[in-house]
Amino acid sequence: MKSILTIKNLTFSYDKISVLKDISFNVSSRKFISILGPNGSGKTTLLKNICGLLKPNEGTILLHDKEISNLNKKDFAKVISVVHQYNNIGFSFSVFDTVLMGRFPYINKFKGETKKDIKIVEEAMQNTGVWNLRDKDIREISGGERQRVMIARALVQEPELLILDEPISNLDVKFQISILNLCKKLNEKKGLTIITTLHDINLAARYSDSILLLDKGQIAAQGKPENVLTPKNIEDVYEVEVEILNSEKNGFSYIIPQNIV
Amino acid sequence: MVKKNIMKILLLIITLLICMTFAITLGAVKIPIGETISIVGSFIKNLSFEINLNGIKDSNIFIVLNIRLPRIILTTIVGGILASVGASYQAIFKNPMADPFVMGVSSGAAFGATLSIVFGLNKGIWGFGFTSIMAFVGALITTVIVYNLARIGHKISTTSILLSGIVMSSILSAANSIMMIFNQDDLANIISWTMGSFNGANWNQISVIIIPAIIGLLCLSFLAREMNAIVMGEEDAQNMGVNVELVKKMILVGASLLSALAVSVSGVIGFAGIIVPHLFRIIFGSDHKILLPASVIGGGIFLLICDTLARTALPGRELPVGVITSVLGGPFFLYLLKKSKSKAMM
Ligand SMILES: Nc1ncnc2c1ncn2[C@@H]1O[C@H](COP(=O)(O)OP(=O)(O)OP(=O)(O)O)[C@@H](O)[C@H]1O
Ligand SMILES: [Mg+2]
Repeated sequence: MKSILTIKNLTFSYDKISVLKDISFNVSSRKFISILGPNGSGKTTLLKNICGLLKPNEGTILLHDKEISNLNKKDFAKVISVVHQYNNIGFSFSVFDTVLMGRFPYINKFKGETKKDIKIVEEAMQNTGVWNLRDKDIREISGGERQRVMIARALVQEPELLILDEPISNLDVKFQISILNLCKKLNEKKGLTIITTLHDINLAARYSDSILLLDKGQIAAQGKPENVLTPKNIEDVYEVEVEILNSEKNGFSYIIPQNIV
Repeated sequence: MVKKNIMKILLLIITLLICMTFAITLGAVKIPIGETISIVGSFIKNLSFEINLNGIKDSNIFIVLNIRLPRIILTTIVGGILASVGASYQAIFKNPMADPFVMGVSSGAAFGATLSIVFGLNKGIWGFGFTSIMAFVGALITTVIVYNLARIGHKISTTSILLSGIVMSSILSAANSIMMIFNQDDLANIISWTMGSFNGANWNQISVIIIPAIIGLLCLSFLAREMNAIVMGEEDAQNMGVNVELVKKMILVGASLLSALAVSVSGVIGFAGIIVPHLFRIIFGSDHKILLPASVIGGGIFLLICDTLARTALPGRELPVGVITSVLGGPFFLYLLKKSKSKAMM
């Protein structure tokens, strides 16, 4: 299968503190990939290397066989869009205008936004459930609502690859499921490739085609969820004993931590 | 949305025209509003200073056309520049307290201009042009110094930019005063540089700055969409396809050039770039496509009111306009500082 992203021997350090060590993996087009790992294991750092915000010390990152540092910023933004783990916006914009900014790489400076841009924005806002917030000030909505607005903004970039850094950590259970369902739907129907970090092992297992397990900046395991998320791997990486329960109702496995006081 | 904003801008333009008209009537010699309108009207119609109007004293015509009108136009241009430059600095530093004065850029420009005067480079064929170039170089160097002093890694913190800007500004103002004293200029001249003044505004100054001012303001407006993305966060902006580093440099250079232009005709005027953009963010939101043009007009209105106060508040003498803007802007700046601290924003 054609690969959209190829990472070879990526090494990265902040100043002198080495964070990523010899990371290599391949992302095939149209896949849903989750990156798991404890706090501080380097997930965010890895994503920032992929989206060009950090430059690797060694190794290569290829997007469709092209070195990412050689790509022009607007073209890059038409292929990859990103939702970061943290955002705090100090300036007043309407939710609608915020999402519209995602059209930046497509908007001609002299013509301004077109009807098509507006339509794409509306569709993305409907899909993420923020259309009813469109006239609100971006600073005056809840953290979870803002997270969905940011996802809508990433979607209007019409990327081939969507990168999400903990997209559901701020969301209530309804929106956790609805955002992941939306991602899955875009993944299956529109062929959007997704790379996301998640902290919920069970949801990662349910939604992902493939999982990358990071531990102290190195890949501890990668592959199909059932092969990666074994009790042994989880105990090695997270230092928590777990048990796997099989649900009789739907046939899925659930990972349950032990040693709960 | 767009229509509503166009209405607001039109309203601002009308307010500006009304303010300009009133400003012309006020002064040591009161000129009736009817006379003012017919003098300016026939000036615009004939584009000539040789105007004869029945029943209007020649001295009044002279005052309107050669003293007040150029002063009012120059004030409006400078006010527009300072406010829109303030809004642009605020966008790239993501800090509502940045402005050419607080950033030390105005003092840097004044320092450059003073240097050229002290060394006699302002005379001869190069004259005004060379002083302006020196003002620009001073502004740019100060911007780069303040920016680098305030930078920690890739981040620029609110406190450090304000501190380094204000300290640079004080050092450069002091240096200016010293140079002026040794150059045996009189005190009034020093004050008009370091505290700002439009006393002596003339058509010549307008003709020198008008074209670069318009080009500079258009360039800034051209980057409005990028500014919008940058205030969302630089990483987000980059992921949306904005070449953040390049855009920031372009804005820094453009804003410094514009500040230098303004300073070269008015001296240092503080805080004008803070009040107006802040007010318009409340009215229009932060969309720089509207905020920038609104700030140009609003800045003109603001400085026009301040300058009219400066020349009419005390009978028989004039206050430096920078004193008025500081009296109004200083407390406002402290209020913003307090607010930003209590909200822990940015
Ligand atoms: N800007 C930075 N400068 C220096 N070190 C950093 C920086 N950002 C992160 N680190 C360090 O790099 C390591 C990896 O951080 P990273 O943010 O990638 O972890 P993460 O896996 O995303 O964690 P989390 O699950 O908490 O989001 C951590 O040890 C962190 O302290
Ligand atoms: Mg992280």
